[in-house]
Order: sequence, then structure tokens, then C-alpha cells
Amino acid sequence: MSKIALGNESLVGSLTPSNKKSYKVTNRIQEGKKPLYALVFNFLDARFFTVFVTAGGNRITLYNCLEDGAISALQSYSDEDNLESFYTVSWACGVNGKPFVAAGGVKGIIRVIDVDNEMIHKSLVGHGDSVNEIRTQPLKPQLVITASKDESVRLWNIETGICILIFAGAGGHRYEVLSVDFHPSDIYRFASCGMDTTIKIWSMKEFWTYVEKSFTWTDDPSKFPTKFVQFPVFTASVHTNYVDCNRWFGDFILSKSVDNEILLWEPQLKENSPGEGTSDVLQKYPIPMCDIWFIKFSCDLHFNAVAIGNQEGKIYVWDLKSCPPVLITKLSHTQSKSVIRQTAMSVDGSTILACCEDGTIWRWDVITK
Amino acid sequence: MCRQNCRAKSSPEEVVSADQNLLVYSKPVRLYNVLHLRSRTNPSFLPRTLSYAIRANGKRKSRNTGMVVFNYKDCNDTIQKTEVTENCSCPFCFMRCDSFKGLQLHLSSTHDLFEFEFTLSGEYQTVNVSVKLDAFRFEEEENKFEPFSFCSKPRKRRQRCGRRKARRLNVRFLPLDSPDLANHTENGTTLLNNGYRGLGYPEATFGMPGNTPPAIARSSLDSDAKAVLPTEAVVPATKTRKLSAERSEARSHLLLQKRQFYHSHKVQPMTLEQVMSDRDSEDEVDDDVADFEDRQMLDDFVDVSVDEKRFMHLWNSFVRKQKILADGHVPWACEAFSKFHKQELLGCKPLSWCWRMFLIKLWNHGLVDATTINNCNLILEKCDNNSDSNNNNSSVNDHQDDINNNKVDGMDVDKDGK
Repeated sequence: MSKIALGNESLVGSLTPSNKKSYKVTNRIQEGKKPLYALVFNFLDARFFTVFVTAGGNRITLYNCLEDGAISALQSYSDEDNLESFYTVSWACGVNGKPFVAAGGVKGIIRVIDVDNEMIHKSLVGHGDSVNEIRTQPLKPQLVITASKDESVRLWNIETGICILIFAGAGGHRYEVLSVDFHPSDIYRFASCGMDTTIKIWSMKEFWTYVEKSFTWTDDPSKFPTKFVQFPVFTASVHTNYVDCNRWFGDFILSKSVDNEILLWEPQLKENSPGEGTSDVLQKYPIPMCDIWFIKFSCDLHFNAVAIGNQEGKIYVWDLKSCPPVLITKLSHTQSKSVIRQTAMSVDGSTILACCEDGTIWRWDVITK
Repeated sequence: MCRQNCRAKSSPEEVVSADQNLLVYSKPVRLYNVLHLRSRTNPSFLPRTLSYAIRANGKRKSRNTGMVVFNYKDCNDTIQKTEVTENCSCPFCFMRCDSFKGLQLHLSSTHDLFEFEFTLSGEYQTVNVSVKLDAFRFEEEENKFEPFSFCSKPRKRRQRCGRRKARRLNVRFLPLDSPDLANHTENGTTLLNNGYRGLGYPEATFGMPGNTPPAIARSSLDSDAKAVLPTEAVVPATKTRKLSAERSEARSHLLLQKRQFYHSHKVQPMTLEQVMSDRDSEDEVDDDVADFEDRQMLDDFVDVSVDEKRFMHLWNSFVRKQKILADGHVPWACEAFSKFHKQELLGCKPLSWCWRMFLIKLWNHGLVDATTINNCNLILEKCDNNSDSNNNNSSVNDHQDDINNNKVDGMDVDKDGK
């Protein structure tokens, strides 16, 4: 367990907006009555930067963000199981670069949809409980990682449908895993966090041969020698409550707990002694009215800003390039009262989308002066 | 409906022997129970039509309706049990036949594993029942066990398939006085003949507790079930006892095929081939990962030299792979370790010192005695001398062969850790 370095005062941001940028509502869609838990822009393929996907109930819907605030629906899928409730969705790619969408939820089955052919490419089974988050390795977008209520994290090859590695066991999470994220440049590394209040950094370096093997595997996927990774390289306890979202910010980590704040902190791993190290909390971004779990934040492609909704329908946009933290703006609308489960910032941050508990999608566009 | 046991009072011995004689009924009766239970959820053509006819003719026949006495006979043709039913009902499937003639038709066509003798004397309508012993034997000898495809398939109420429809309607009744008329039913394709010919299947489920055989129940409900029965599941055997063992194997084989199984740890769906193989690799320790974790754990030690770590790793892996669990295993483990790792120990002085120190620690704890330590040293010295003399490697090779043959002092050394 890592220690928190003493003597380093972390900087807390002020809730007074700088209003360096302002946004206005340009569209609102009522997708259905069921809560929407996830929406995400496609950052993997420059041809589809304006396309986003939502997940909620047993539905997955693809939209295109057009100019002047317009949104067009592209495709919609509904799971044959009416009791499915999708919690998370992620873009991915086949080996030939075809866009895929991977979604998971209460049933624990990951549906991989081949968007070009409008059909299911693979259904990945293995998780023993709900899937809380799916993330794609941007450097190898056939690899996705899933966080589950079954206290495990799994690495999959969606092209071949193989479960490559399972991260669980003696050093693993002790409660639901709520969020996972790949390191942006170190392909072997990812972080996971959950209800056990910890954030764990895992390395796949020693197991990379299996990852490579998964691409050439032609036998039955269930015969693949799936390996268990029991020990993370680092465990941080920077939060004292459920941690429901974490994202790498370079070698730093942005993580959000239900304590009404996002932390920016640096994991300081000790060379040659995995498991030990310290975490240095650098900055704190307060988010009022954000103390229920399963509220996730999002950043633009270049990590200039982070946007997060709260339980009364407001969105906070923080500047990530300033120290101490600066609140760029607070977005609120009289009709936006429902819990915002997730936001999605477009590649350049000019559009912010929010999906809500009441089944609505809100579109905010930056006001150009 | 009333069912009375009218057996006269008799001595306990007689009761026992009578019960034993009645055992011969159990097999056919259970078969009919199975079919009857099925027919409740999955009504077949026959009873529905009959009940329709019965309702239409109900009043007219009411005069003839009455009590029927059933006498169950054993193989010596003595009456062992008597039963009375009302409304000319069938004692096996409780079907109301309403007339004695209807009952005759019903029994002869539906319960053809029994022989029936119908007598009508004055007020009494009597049926003498005996078991057709050769019915079973005949089927077994004739190798007529076929997949129980008929019962496995869900019966649809509306059948579009003309051929099947024809088969269903092809129920013909032959003159009543022929006791085994069902055997001569045209084509042998009436409903129950089908069930009868497929006896292999329901019999395979007889061992199940309770009245509802799960295999049948499931297959009849599961529309995906294609009633695939591998040939070995229904191979007839000549001896009944041997048969039941094989049947139970066939039954579990069948159940294994019908369900989707998952690996215990990965929770990946298993292929049939994996289900049928007798090894479950997921219960085994993954040695690659365990070795990696062990090295990682040792790397954490800051006050331990590289050679010490290397020795610890060798020992830990050895102990894990050989499953050294109890104190009593330790002397054997030490000697086996000396042989197995002698090349490493001899090739690296600091490593062999680690080993000696470790032996002393074990001796301190009372886990090994002086003899064991001596044996271990002799193993290494012998090897050492041989390699020093440098003119005869065969001895070294002999030792190597010992290990390769997985034999150390007559005990198995399993290199795979199995």
C-alpha cells in the first residue's frame, strides 16, 4: 500500500468560474425513458470524430454531431434480452480498422458490434457480474479492458473474442471495480479503481506474449491459456470513499471519488519493488453535489479540460493546464435537473454532451466570440 | 376414482414374497408413469380424441359404467394384488374409459407391456393382469434400441408436416382377443409403439429420484433439443446389471451434452471435448505465473543477496511443484532437491552454501535429521568427485537419467508438478 507523501500541500481550485470559455445549449434529445449511463465520442478514428454512442437500458445508439447544434441518429441496437441494462460503452477497432462498439452492463456480457456491417461481431462472456466500465487501448484498439462488479478486471481481444488476462486475486480489488483506463503511452500499463477506495496500477509486461498470442489464436477461444495476474505494481489510497472514475493524465492520474472532488495525483513507484511507492496529490478540483456513485468525467483528446456533471444536472468544466486549478465555466439550464451520469467532450473541447438519468442527451457548444 | 388394496390378510413371510413377486411390475409401471406425467404437460393425440368421444357418448354408456376389478398376477399365475377402479378407469394412467370395452381397447393398445385377460361374469368386470416378461427381452435381443426421438421432440399442437400427421392418425385397433395386438399394429408407428421401441431412453432415466425424469422433462420443453443421442448412449447390453451401469454412464454423458458448462476460473464456455476430457486444467497451479509471482515477491527483499534469492526461488518452486506440504515430506524433499538441482548447486559455490545453511535451519527446527543431511551431502559430493575426476561423465548422466525418469530413491519426482 502506498503512502501519501507529506509536506506537499495539494492545491484546491476555486469554484469561481473564469469564464474563459462559455457554452450554450444547442440541442436536447429525449432518447427514451430509461436512464442513460454512458456516452462517448469516437477518438480512435479521425473520420468519425463527430460520431458518438450512448448506452442505457438494453439500447446502444450511434449519433452524429452536425454543425449548428444538430444531432442525427445513425444506428440503434437493442439487446434481445429486455433485462439488459448497459452501463458502459467504448469505441474499438477490428484489425482491418473497421469501427467497433463494445458495450456491457448488468448482464456481464460484452457485446461487440461491427458498426459497418450492423451486426454483432462477438459476445464476450466471462464476467461473473455487471460490467461497470469498458476502455479501449488507443495504441492497439483491438484490446479492451473491462471493470466488473465481480471484483476483477479482464483484458480481451475483441477481434478474436479471447479473454487474455484476468486481474484479480490476492492483490486485486476487494469490492466492485468501477473504472479502468489504459496508460496513454505505456502500452503495458493501466489503472483501475473501485468501491474498495483504492486505485491500482497494473503491468502486463510479463504477460505480453499472451497478448500477442491472442491475435494469432485460431483454436477455440475457450482453450486460450488465460492467465491470472494477482498483483498490481502499485496500490494507491488517495481517496477514502468509492472511486468511480479514473483517467491517466500523462503519468499522473485524475480520479474521482464520491467525496465531491476530482484529484490529480502522481503515483511514485519504487524501481524494482512493485507494490510499494507513494502517491503525491497535486491538485484538487471540487465538484459540488457530486456525492453519488457512478458519475464519470471526460476530457477532450488533448486533455486541456475535464467536464463532469453532478446530481442536479449542472456541468463543471475545469482547466487541466493551469495551476492552481481554474474552473473554466459552470453549465446550468433551468430544465436540466436530472443526474448527469457521464459527459463527453469532443476532440477539441468545443462540444460537451451530457447523458442523464431521465434519458435525455444535452448538447452544449462553445460560444465563439 | 378409488383405489383399494383388497389383498387378503396373510403371514408376514407371504407378504414379503408377494411384494418381491410384484417387483416385476415396477419397470413397466414406472414407464407408464413417465408417459402419463409427460402427457399432462404435453398431451398427445390419443387421449384428447378419446375424451371427446367419451363426452359425446357419456350418457348413452352410463348404464354400462361401473367398477372393474384388477387382479395382478405374478409369473406363477397366482394373484398377488387386487385393485378396484371406478368408471372403467385405467389403473396405470387413470384414464376414464367409461365402458368395459373401451377399457379393453385402451389397455391393449396403450399398456402393451402387460398381458390382459378380460372376464365378464354377472355383475363383475374383471381384468387379470400379468407382465409380459418376454417383451423386454425381445427388445433387447433384437437390438431395437433407438434414439427416443419421439418423446424428445416437443409435440406441436398444429402439425404442418403431412407425413407425421399421417403417422399420428395411423392408430388402428385390432381384435380384442389378441393379447399382444399392439405388437402387430401396422408399421409399429403408433404413438406408444414409438415410445415403446425407444425404451432405452426412459429406462436410462429410471434411476432418477422422484417421478419426473429431468432429462425427459427438459428435452420435451427445450425446443432447441434436437434429440441427439450418440449411439453409445443406447447400445444394448445383454446382461441387465451391466446394462444399468452403462445406462447410468450414458445418462450422465447425455446430461453433459445438453448443458453449457463453463471453466471454473475463467468462466469461458467449454467445448464438448473439454467437458468430456477428464482433466480440469483450471484446478492446477499455473507454474509460470506462480514462478513470476515468487520472483516478484523475492525482489521486494532488500536485505537478501542475489544468490540467496536464487536459492529461495529454486526451493519455493520445487516445494510447490512437488507438493511438499507436511513436515514428514521434508527429508524426502531435501534429498530429491539435492539430486534435482545438483548441477546448479555444484556450479555455484554461494548457492551450495545457501543450501547447507538452509539444511542447518531445517535441522534446527527438527525437520531433518543428521542422516538426511549426510545423504544430501553425499549426493552432492559423489557428483562433485565424478565431475572433478573429469574422466567419467556417465555417472552424472546416470543421475540425470534418474531425474529424467522421474525416479529418486524409488519415489516419483514430477517435473510438471502434477
